[in-house]
Amino acid sequence: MTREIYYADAIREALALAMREDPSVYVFGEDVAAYGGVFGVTMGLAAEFGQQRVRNTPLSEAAILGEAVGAAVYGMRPVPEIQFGDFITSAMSQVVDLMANYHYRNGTALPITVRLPSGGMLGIGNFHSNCWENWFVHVPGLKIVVPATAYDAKGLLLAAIRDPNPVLYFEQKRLYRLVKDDVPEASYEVEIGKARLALEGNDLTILTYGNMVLEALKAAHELGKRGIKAEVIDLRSLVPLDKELIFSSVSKTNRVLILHEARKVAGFGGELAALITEEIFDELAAPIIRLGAKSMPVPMNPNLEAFYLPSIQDVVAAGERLMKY
Amino acid sequence: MTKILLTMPQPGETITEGHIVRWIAHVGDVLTEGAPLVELETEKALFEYESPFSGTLECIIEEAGQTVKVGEPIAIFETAAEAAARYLSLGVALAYADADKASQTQAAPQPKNDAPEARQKNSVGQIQLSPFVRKRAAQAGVDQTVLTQLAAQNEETRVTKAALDNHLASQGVAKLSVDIEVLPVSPIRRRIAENMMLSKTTIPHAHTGLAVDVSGLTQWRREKKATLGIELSYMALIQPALIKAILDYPLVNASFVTAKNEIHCFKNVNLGVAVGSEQGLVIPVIRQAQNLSYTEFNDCLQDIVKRALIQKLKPDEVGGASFIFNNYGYYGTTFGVQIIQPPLSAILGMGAIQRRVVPVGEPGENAMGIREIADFSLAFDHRVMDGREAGLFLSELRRGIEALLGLE
Repeated sequence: MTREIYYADAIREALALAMREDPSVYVFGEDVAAYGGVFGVTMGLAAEFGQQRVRNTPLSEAAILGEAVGAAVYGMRPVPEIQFGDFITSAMSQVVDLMANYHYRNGTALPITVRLPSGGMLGIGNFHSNCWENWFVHVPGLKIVVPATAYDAKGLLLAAIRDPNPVLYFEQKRLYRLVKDDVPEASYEVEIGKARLALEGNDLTILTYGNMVLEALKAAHELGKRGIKAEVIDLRSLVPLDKELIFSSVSKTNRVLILHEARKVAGFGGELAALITEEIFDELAAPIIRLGAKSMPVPMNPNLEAFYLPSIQDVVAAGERLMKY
Repeated sequence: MTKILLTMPQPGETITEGHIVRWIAHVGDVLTEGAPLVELETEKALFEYESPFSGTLECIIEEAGQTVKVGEPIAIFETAAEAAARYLSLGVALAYADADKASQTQAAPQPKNDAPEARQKNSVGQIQLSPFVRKRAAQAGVDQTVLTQLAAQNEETRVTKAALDNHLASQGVAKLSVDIEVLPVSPIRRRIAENMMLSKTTIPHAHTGLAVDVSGLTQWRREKKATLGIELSYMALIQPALIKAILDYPLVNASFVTAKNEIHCFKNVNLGVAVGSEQGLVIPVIRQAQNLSYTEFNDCLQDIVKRALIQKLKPDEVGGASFIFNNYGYYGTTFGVQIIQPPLSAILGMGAIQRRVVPVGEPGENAMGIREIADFSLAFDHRVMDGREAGLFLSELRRGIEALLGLE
């Protein structure tokens, strides 16, 4: 049985399913219990599972993720929430030094799923809008997923919670009540490491993820009006990366546009571009174009934020430029 | 310091162009004479070319992957003035200012790599090709002239993917199937193809063959291995018999010269040895093989074959064969219908040695024995000789092999 539900509800459903099937799964974070989280994602979980398994914490990300490491070592399957993904900077050591290395150093599993409401486009400024996923791509030992649909939000979260090692789950707060699609009621997984062909086309490949999948699809529609058929690939998982789908698409279209909400400078797009150039240089008919946010703090003012972010017009212009080669 | 030009060398008289496989030295390297410089492939061989200069490799004009005519500049060196004068007087270098004369199509050789603009353009001559367009054009055999036209049609210096696709579609070239892996044709492969076409279209081939009892030969070989610990090659063991048969029937060691309507018989037996390497067939030559004992021949052969397999032959060791021996039996086959290497008049092939049941003793005894047998085949130019000479040659060869001629 499937029905259309919102992205936020798909996340809550995955949490509830995981907690029902496995008593070692528990949720904790700032205001996640009775209040249901600042975005309402954990609403109702405390009522069903009790204050022991849905716990409020002090305002300390270092303590939250420190607890997660300790609990996982002692056999729990913690699913901590970092209220805004931006705040993970306060717990860098817990993530980078402890979580990522634990399996390597001790040879035992460390099943933690960190939920990181991430990204902006909501006019909520610099401490609440950043996309820091790329920092963690650089750290071996962490899986990095970024769902863009309700279906993937549920399937990836279930896969992440059941994964024996740490997964950083960058949920897109703008999509909570914006994206709605068909989601099975039952439990299922979306394999971590598999990208999704969001739109098929022959002329150019847009590689994107997260918030920007929606923008890429809108831009592809605009490009279609100009006779340019863009293929859109939603990466879904940055680590591991689905090189197979990326390479087969690029080998078909020979033109690549990389789009992400995170800043362009030293962003994940640079890694993708380098990878494609190194491994399938002969398939390129045009230079790879990267689009990302400008190198500046995230502005609060919506007009300024629109200036800061890559726009649909930018994507269309880049697509047209690619077709000149 | 003086700038001089390194040109594409001519490692053999018939070589007209060379393919740059890989630059071993890098721009900025200070090299001495004889230092490994660049890996070149000609139609005959793949070899490491050593720096003829002592000096600094200032600039690479022709990148790896380019095929360049002999005498065209491929790099710029900076050397001491006296050294430059010496190289120029010896004719091993081209003066930097002479670049115009060296190349009509290309003005003074510009570093194709130096300017950031050039680097971006990935240009071939004046037109710009993306990696994909370059690959597709090469696969489809679209040459430079057509690419230049395509660029001009669009009033651009670039050939776009769309322009190339349209051109290929107009030529009836379907989109390349994903089921086909397209391989580039290396210079050696191309030369083999040209030679084979030339041979099959200009030489009237005839074929003949016979079975040779090599039991005595294999026995001799085993004994030598046991007593001396050396493994003699079969070709070395038959070399004395082969030389005698060739000298008795010199038409197999000859060439039909159409232009003069003459048959030229070679006075020396320059024995070419067909060696199948991964890069393709190469035929290193053992010169004046008639003057070598079988052991000397064996030493030469082992050295030359070993180096042929790792592309370490010197250019003058390839080409100029007067007769070719082809041991296809090495790959297990017993039978071959061969193609003559132009301009020669014959090629001899040896099949794998097999134990066969054969009649033995005098006629009428009706006895059988197990003998070691190899089938030899000869392809010959019927303009030069007839079945008579070919047959007599092979029979003489068999006699010599079975009598262990020259082995002591």
